[in-house]
Amino acid sequence: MALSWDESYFGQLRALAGSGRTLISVGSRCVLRDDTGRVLLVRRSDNATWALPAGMMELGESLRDCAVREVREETGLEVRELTTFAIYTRSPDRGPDMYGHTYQHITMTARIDAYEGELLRATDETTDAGWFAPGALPEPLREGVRRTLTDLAAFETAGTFTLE
Amino acid sequence: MGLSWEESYIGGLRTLAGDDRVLISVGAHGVVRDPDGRILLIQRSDDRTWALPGGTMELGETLRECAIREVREEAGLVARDVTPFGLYTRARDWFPNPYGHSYQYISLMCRVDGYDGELERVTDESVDAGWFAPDALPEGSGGLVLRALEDLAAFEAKGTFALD
Repeated sequence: MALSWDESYFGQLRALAGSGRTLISVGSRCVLRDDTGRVLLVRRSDNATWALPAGMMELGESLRDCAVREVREETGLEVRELTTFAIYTRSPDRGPDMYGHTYQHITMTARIDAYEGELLRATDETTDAGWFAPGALPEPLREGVRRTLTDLAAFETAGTFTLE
Repeated sequence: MGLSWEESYIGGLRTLAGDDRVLISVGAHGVVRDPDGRILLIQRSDDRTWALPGGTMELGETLRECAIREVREEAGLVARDVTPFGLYTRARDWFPNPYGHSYQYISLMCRVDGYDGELERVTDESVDAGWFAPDALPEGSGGLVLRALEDLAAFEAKGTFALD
């Protein structure tokens, strides 16, 4: 069972900082694929978009721990190995999120190389989950999914690590 | 000339959070080498340790820009490009600093690929600077220096990105 927003590090920081201040957040995002190359997306319960498993880190855990935990919480799968291929750090040019809060997200992005377990279609944070071919992604798709898959392809074909 | 502590993002956050709360701090470090393979270290003005140039990011800059800015502020050198070789995120450095504040440091480790300018031995944040062979580091070098050099060697030999 995940921490509630009010219990989480960034939830507490937001309460201290108030709604108007832009905060730097830190988290992980993960790409899981099945044997046929389809990508795992979850449908988020907060905004109904299809997204890669992802979330913000907690004090005391590493970003690797954060990646493993977010995949477990949002899909039920247990990550065994991962490879970092991108780090997104650029300030957003869009406005506040659905809660009226603005973040500059620092996102460690990893390919999951090995995992175990059975996919859970619904969790505390998701209402559906499924495997999708990169050329047939569902809508509404969360911002950043296509960009992440493009950067993973560049990493796998040319070894290019994305720092943006 | 960098921002003052009070003007900086993390300084502002510290004021909001009070002295006792552990905060997540995001930043970058640069490993600069001369043509002989010697490493640039600066002697920090706050605790007199010998350290890699590095520091905390500001809102609106990327981590790449942060690495380049810190090398400029702390050594006077202008990096032409940087290559990330590690992301340190683990809470191993979780103890009070000289100001009594505790942080979980997230740091992007970057190799500096070419630079312009002349080394400044004294800056607002440093009292000395110099080039050191990896096997002849000065007394009082922080543990981060050794770890970074090991991880950079692994990156250059095998392409391994250090996520820790």
